[in-house]
Parts: sequence; C-alpha cells; structure tokens
Amino acid sequence: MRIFTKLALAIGLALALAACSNAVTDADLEGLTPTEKVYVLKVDFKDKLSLVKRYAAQPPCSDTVVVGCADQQVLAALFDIAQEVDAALDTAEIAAANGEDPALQVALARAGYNRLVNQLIVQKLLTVDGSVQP
Amino acid sequence: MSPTAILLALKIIDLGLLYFEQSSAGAAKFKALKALIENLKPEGEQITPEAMALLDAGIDADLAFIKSKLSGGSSV
Repeated sequence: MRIFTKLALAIGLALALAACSNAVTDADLEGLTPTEKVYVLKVDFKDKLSLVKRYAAQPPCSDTVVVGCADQQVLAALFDIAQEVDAALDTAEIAAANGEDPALQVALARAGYNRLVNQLIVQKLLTVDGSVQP
Repeated sequence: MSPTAILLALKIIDLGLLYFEQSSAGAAKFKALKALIENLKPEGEQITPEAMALLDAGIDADLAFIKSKLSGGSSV
C-alpha cells in the first residue's frame, strides 16, 4: 500500500472517530425524566418517519418510471429499520413507566435513528446538514 | 498507485466527511429538542399520557401507510 493510500485511510479513520466523539451522548439527555427522554426520541422518530412516508407515497419504480419513484427493496429496508426503532421506543416507554431509566432502549433507538438517517441521506430525502430535501 | 487505490482512498475520505457532518447535524437537532422540552417546564406543562398517545397514534398511522405501500394495497 502506497503512502497516499495510507494517508487517506488515516484521515478517513480520524474523521470517523471525530464523528463518534461528536455524536449525541447520554449526557445530552441529562436533566430530563425518563418519560421526557422517550418523548424526545419519539418526536425525532416521527420526524424521520414522515420522510419515509413521503418516499413511500411516490409511484413504484418501473421500467418507465426511474426518477422520483419508490424502490420497493429500499422501502422494505426503511420499514424494517423503522420497526426496530418503534419496538425500542415501546420498550423504552414501558421502562420509563416503571420508573426505570431506559438508557439501553434509548441507545438502541438512537442506533436505529442513525441507520435510518443514513438511508434517508442516500435516498436524497435528507441532507447531511439535517435539512429536508424539497 | 493504481486508479482503484485512489478511488478507494477518496471514498474513505468522503464517507468520513459524511459521517462527521451528519452527526453534527443530529447532535444540534437533538439539543434543540431537549431545549424544547426544558422550555415547557417553567410553564408548568407536562408531557401528558394524552400527548404521548397522540404521538403514538401518528407513528402507528405512518407505519401502517408505509406497510400498505409495501403490500401493494393502495399503489399510486
């Protein structure tokens, strides 16, 4: 492996690590009650889900429609992730109702959000700066 | 250096930048939501079970809509 490739790998790794350190942590949710944490997560999830819904509302992709259409495989993948997040939020809500701190469920839901956001960016429904594509 | 190695290196940099920008935006939005919740507190407002139920209903409706599109129940 040449020096340029090694350098690029190092830069990529450093940026990825920087991204991890810049990600939302549990400290960001400090001061909120368990119920409030779940509520914040749900509001955020609903926001992302509305974009998936918009994607689903497009006509299915076909030989004649190739732009501005919903690929059923992509849609199925988005739906699977959304269901994972939904399930994590449900268990988080139960934990919160029982007076427990739903830290684990919150972490699971956040991991799902990240995957959902990645897919929404790939599908050009969301920009990297978090704004919704027109 | 082969073209493949250059393309691979550029792709890695591109991915690193994408994750960096995306996580920054996510963190900002999450903090804005937290601020929203904290601003409710001085007014004495609480997140009621009714508010949570409304949110749940919206999520359920969106998931049902997406599922119907997947099953081809109401294709556009």
